[in-house]
Amino acid sequence: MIKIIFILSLSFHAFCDVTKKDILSELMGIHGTNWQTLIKSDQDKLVIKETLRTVINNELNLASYGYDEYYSEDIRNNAISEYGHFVSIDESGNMSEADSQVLENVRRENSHNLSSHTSLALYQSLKNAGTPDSLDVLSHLLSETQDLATSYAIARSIKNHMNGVKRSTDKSLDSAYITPYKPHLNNNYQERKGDWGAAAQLATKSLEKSYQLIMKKSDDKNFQKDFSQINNSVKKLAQIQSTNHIRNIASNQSDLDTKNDNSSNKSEEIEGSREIAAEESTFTDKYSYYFLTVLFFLIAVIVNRKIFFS
Amino acid sequence: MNFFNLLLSLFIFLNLSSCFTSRQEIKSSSSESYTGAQDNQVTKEHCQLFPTSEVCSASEPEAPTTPSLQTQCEGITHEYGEVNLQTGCVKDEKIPITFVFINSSSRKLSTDIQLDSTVAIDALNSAFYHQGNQFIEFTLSKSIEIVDDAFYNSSCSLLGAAARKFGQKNALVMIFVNDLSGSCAGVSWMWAFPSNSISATMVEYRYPFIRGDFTPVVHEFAHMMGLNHTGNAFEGSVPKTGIKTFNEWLKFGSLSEKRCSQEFVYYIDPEKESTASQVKGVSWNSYQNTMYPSFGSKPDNGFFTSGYDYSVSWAFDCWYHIATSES
Repeated sequence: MIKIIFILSLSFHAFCDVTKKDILSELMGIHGTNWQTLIKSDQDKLVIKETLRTVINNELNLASYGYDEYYSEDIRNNAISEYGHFVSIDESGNMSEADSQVLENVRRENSHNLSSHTSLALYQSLKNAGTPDSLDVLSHLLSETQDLATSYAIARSIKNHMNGVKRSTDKSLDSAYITPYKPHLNNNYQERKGDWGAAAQLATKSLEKSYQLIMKKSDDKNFQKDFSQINNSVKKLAQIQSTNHIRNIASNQSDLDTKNDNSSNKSEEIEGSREIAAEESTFTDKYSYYFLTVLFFLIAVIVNRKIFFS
Repeated sequence: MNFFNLLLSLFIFLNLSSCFTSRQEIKSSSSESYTGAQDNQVTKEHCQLFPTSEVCSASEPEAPTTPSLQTQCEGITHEYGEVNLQTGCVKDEKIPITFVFINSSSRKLSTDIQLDSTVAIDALNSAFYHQGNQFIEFTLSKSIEIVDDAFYNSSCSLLGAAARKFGQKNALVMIFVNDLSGSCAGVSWMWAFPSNSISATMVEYRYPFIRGDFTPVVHEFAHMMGLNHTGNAFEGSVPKTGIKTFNEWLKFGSLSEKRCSQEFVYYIDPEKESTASQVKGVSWNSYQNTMYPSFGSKPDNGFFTSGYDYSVSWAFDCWYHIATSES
């Protein structure tokens, strides 16, 4: 009887829980991960997190899941970038010590090469964590690199970290089938738990310093302009933090800035939606013309009748 | 009576002007969508390399039209790889591709872009070759290398910006970048060519040219020509096993357009002449198909698994007809 219960419980467990194979398959999704299809409970989140941790720490035998050795680096990098979504957040709003340590180990291991794929994955993970301490690490890393493309990648992560990521649901994109899983980035940083004052100021300083470097080293006007937009955007976001009075002013400015960002060809968030907005505006204006035309037509008919019958 | 004529004239004038204004607004709203790209100071060199990209072209993107699909090789037995050129069915038409390699100011992706391009074209052509038939054939239009520190490490969600900058109207464009943020290896639009004036896709350089795995490259091109995912990408709404409706796998245009749908059913299943939506032999859960949305752990046996061969042949026929109709 105990055996039957044990087998049944194992079957039930296998049926309900997400498997390591599923998790690895998600990590190697051509268009990225789609965690929402795997997560049915909080327990699933823990299983995913633990699997990611074992992949990051090279404790999982990937070959036994059908992956050749040369994919192991990619799978590990993908696990690093996704880990940020699953970090636990403590009372202070920061990452738990254990999670912070996982990412800190990755940072140390790659401190000699801030442009590697693993480092780029770390920036993603820190962004995905969405906490004040992860923003601090990004700011420090930004001030450590002299490489322009890497600076841009970190700067973009800082902006998206603070702003939150409102992804487009453009149905024409094949990746649009994937509902983004961004539990820590669903809103602006100010609406998240934690003491953000110092972190926001540090981010602003690092970006300004990096921007000055780019102005010196790059003569690509487009690149300078793109970086400048990120820099200004983060400045505005940080200003919002200071006082309620400034918050109101900066909020309006931020809206303006967001509009400017939307017109940028680097807008990561609202691709497609602007076109819909433009169509709606045209639609309304067009209808106002038709309304006026019909009104004039009715007046003409009424007047005509009056003339005719008079 | 004079007053009536005056009002009538006013009415006609308003109608015409509203029509004219609406057209202007549609044009301006359409161009507004690309304002950001146009705001950027695009260099002359960029426009020499990408003369038809949105940021260089002053003309408006043309609205896609839905061509008539009445006479596809009518009365002639359809064969693999054939396309209809009105005068009859022919083979050996080729699709032009431009490869764009994005370097950073301190690093190059490729040591030899011509070699990489040749290898990629060969990989694509062999992916569309099956049992003696070249279903779709690609030819290299251009290989371009460009320094762009903002796009060297890009993101799948930046495809729109990349397409506006590097897209072309006269070729399929694949942009190779160093990194695509997170675990995304490639991204494209569905059915982007030739109905969209900017048809671009992005893939991480390392998979094809360092790992030797062309699955993401071929997979993305197939999306651009309308092939959807196999496997459980639609888990929840679609059964995990069994027959999948053909229109859902080959997603031609939006659902309301239903490009290339009913008229071609008999090309996929010669036994069927009706407009039934289900096609024999198309297995939804083909894990080893190139269009399965995950890679690395299982063999990529191409498109022609579990009876997909008819489908791909059909796709090519449909693609070419629309391409010639819209050019």
